[in-house]
Amino acid sequence: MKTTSRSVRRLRRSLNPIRMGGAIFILLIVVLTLAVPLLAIPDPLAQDIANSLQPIGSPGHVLGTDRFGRDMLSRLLFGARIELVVALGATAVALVLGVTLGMLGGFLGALAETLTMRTVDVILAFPPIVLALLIVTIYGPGVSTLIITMGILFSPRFARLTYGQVVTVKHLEYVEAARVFGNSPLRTMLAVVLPNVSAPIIVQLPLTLATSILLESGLSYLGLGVVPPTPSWGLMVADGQRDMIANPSLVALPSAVIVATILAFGLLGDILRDWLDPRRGMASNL
Amino acid sequence: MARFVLKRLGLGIVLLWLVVTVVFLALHAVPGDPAAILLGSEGAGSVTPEALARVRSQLGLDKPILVQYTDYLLRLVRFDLGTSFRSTDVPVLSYISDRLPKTLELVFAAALLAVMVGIPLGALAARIGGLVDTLISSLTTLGISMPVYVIGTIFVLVFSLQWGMFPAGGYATLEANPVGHFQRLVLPAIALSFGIGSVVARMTRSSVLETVAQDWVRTARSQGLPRAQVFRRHVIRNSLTPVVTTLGLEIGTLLGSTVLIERVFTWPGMGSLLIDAVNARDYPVVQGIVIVIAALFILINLIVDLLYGVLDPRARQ
Amino acid sequence: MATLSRRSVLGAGSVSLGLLLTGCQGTATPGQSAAKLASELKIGLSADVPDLKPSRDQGAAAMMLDTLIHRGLLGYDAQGKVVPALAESFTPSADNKSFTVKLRKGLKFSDGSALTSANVKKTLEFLATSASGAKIYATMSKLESVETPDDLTAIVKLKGANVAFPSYLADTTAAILPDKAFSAQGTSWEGAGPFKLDTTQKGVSFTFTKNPEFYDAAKVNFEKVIVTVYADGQARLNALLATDVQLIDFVPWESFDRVKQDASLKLDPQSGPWMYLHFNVAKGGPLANEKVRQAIALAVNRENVAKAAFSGQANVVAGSPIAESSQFYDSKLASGWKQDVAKAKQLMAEAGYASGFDAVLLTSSQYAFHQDTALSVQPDLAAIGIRTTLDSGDWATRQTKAAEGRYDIAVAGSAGVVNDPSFLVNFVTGPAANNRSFGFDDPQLDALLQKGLEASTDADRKAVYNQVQERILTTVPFASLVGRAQAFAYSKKLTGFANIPGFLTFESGYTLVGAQLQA
Repeated sequence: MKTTSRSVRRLRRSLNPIRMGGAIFILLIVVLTLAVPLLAIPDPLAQDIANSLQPIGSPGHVLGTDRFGRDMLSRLLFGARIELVVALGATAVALVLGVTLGMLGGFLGALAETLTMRTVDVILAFPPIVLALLIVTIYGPGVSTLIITMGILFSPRFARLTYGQVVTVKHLEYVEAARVFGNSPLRTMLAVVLPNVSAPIIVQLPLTLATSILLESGLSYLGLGVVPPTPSWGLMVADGQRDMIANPSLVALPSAVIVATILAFGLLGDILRDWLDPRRGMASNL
Repeated sequence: MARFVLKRLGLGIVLLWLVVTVVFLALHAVPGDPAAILLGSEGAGSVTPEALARVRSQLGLDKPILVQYTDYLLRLVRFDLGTSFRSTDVPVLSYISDRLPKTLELVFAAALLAVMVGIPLGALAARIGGLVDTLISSLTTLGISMPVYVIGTIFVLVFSLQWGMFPAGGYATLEANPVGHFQRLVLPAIALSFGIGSVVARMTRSSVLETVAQDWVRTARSQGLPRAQVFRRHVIRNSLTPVVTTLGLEIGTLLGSTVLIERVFTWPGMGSLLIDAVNARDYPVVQGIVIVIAALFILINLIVDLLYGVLDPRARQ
Repeated sequence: MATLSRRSVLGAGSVSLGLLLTGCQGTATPGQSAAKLASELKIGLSADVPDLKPSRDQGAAAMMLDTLIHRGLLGYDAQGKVVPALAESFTPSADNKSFTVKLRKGLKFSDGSALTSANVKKTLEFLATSASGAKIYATMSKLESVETPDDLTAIVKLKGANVAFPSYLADTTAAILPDKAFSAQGTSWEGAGPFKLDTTQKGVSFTFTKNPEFYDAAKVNFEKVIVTVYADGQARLNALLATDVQLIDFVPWESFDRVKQDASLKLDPQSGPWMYLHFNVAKGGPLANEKVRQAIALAVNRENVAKAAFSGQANVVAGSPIAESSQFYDSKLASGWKQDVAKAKQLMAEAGYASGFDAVLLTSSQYAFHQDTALSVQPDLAAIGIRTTLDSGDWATRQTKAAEGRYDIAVAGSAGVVNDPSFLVNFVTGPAANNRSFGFDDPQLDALLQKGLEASTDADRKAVYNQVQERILTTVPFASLVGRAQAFAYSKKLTGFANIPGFLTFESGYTLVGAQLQA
């Protein structure tokens, strides 16, 4: 049908080799992460101090070992799992919280609007890492704290998107018609508004995932994110700094993986934006 | 105009009040004894009756919560941020006032670099297009994807340890060692400006492309005005407003990134202090810094808003 | 210990006076052209000391600051020999049970107030009070009385003989303090040392200026000493490499070679402090059972600790930390805790913990070697069923938690106070402290250690200390891991400073008096 073929055409136009590369990279990470328990790689926590600081290409350790003799490839892959768990968790929390706030603010009148949108403003008044550090000071580091904190920090984007859509759509005739026909506000919200909001939200998801990884790795770099010895890419960068003159791969490998992942999610976001929501898209950047 | 300024100012103050309230509530967000939670986060086996009593008295947690809140607000109005857990005779404000200028110097240098390099690069990419555009766009894409501590660490590795061009970090006072002072400012400022500069460049590029495509530009060209003049005089000025807004929003990220950069380069600013305080679970210091940084962010955004109002009369409605 | 008679001190004094006069021209040896000396020394220090309480064991960084601001009756020279400081003479009685102290004339604290025998009395009694938490409390608790017949004389009487007593008084924590240091929250930034505190930038740096009231001020070559805190080892090293500072402590072990390769720098290592685990025994539970502690001591792989945490610059210590060169060393007893995982598991089973237990392992992220030691032993403990979670905050927090018993197992690194096995007493008994097992009490061991202090012949002492070592192997007040090299690194332009050997490495700040820096 016309809509479908138009959307397929837009999809094809939104792709280019670099973006395809990004999308494939993410797919690869996801697959590897899921497959990790099945792969024949050493335990990321297993120390083998006699074999510490081996370079890339050593027998038995394709990407070398760190100062405790732990396999780098293994730590990167297990680190990927943690990254994805934290990123997905945070994004999910941000999504649910943000959309709820936006909906409530848009639909339920002036008071709700003030409460919800001011809350969003307050969250946005903090540089994310600073608020995260405040929370860590009180509640300690750890995966669950991270997920909740980051979820709250990233909800404003979703809240504003949703709110904007609700306000736009609220007065459209078919919405009012739905109300007249007796649908509860909630049903109207869910049945009518959500589908309209979905496009910009879907576009936003990979960007939030990227930002989650960025923030979490920063906190782990400071030693305040994931608790060692659980592997985390940010922590690997921090650990690698001590030996980086003789073994730059200890810093280069996790850095490269972090950058590539964030980049890939960004590209995915670009693909989705050009495909699903081209009105928002500005002149495309790569 | 005055009404616009006053309104913005008022909103800013309200926001600040909400922010400090949120910070206050953070400690009480979860049901339970805040003192126990604070100590419990230090690790198992941390909570002893003496430690609990110590924390409770230092934070005034034994009073009813409304009293605590009003005390807290009253003290904040007097710029009293409490005293550090670690040295109970040192007011948090003195710690912060010591470190704040150093952080501001870094932030200012980075913002300056970002604007001075980012805007021309973005405009260039939009104007020339083609290979130059691809190159600059790739650079900026990389710039927004690289965590600031990765950039910093690589800078230290390459420019300091391998090539010995700059010292690897630390701080030299301007009076004692001005050359050394600026030598140590270079790498962290550039590393910090990478990310935000990339955002500014991308924003400028998009904004310029959009402006150029607009009708009035074509009108100006059709009236015979030379391309360069149109570009310089009209396009740039009009493209700048979104860039200013972006810069304002990105200052928050910049303040956050400063925390990481100060760690990489051991720059003794507020970021280093914050990290030390978090590691020591020195809650008053952490709370104080968070409030100051948020206040700074609100202030900067206020200035950006006002600037926006100056640049674009339509915004003053 | 050599008797420090007044005559020998006077003799030494006149010789040093002569040297001083030539030294005033800025040369070490007469005949050379005068080299220009720098008046300012910059030091990079591994930890901040927010509140200085000299009597307590606050760690190496605090000891460095103590050597700048404070002085005790005695001190150490570059070879680790006890030398007079505030005391002009320090004469033990024949039975080593009482000591006559003669103070120098005209001693003053940096604020100008006089330092008399009354201050000596007050300080020693303070150190002998359990509530003060003094590092050398275990020794000072044997104090019987301090008599002060006049302002310059104090007679210190002990309950029992202690031939090593002067060494304890030479420690930085035995500094003589002004009265205000003894108030409830008393910290002490004023003392009778070579420098006084001028300004601080909290958490960043301390600036000291020469103390004109110091008894040996003429020998002090620096008008100003600026101590900057670099908590991160790499940052500290980088500061030295960039000549931001001229002297650093705690050179990161992985960077030893890097310093050696730099022609302008000197690496000054000594082997001294030792790493060990200590336990929270008061809590009850598995760690109160000596078989569990034995199992832990037998489970750890010490070579791994040496390699992972110290890049190999450490030696295995599988028993009591008595140096091989010491006459009290016994090779069999020194390997009593040689790794034997099977035996460790058996002991765990015998203690009733075949399925293991959970424990909190306390360390600090501020000193990388500390945390690496913890990370290194973690899997060893897991192998015998002890599942540990790391508790790794900053150094000050680690010290507080250790002193308050908020841990199960803790990593520690310490230097004994004196180079004599009697120092072991500080690690096996006494009120709660941050470097020994919490709630540990072994009266039999205490008695043996006391016997060692009182034994008259070396043969007797050796026999007693053998028994001490055997007892330690059984009751495990601490589980030794490795002895680590401890290094300072400094510009070759700095002369006169030395890393004092053995346990005394942290007293090396004493050698800054008389040290010079070429401009």
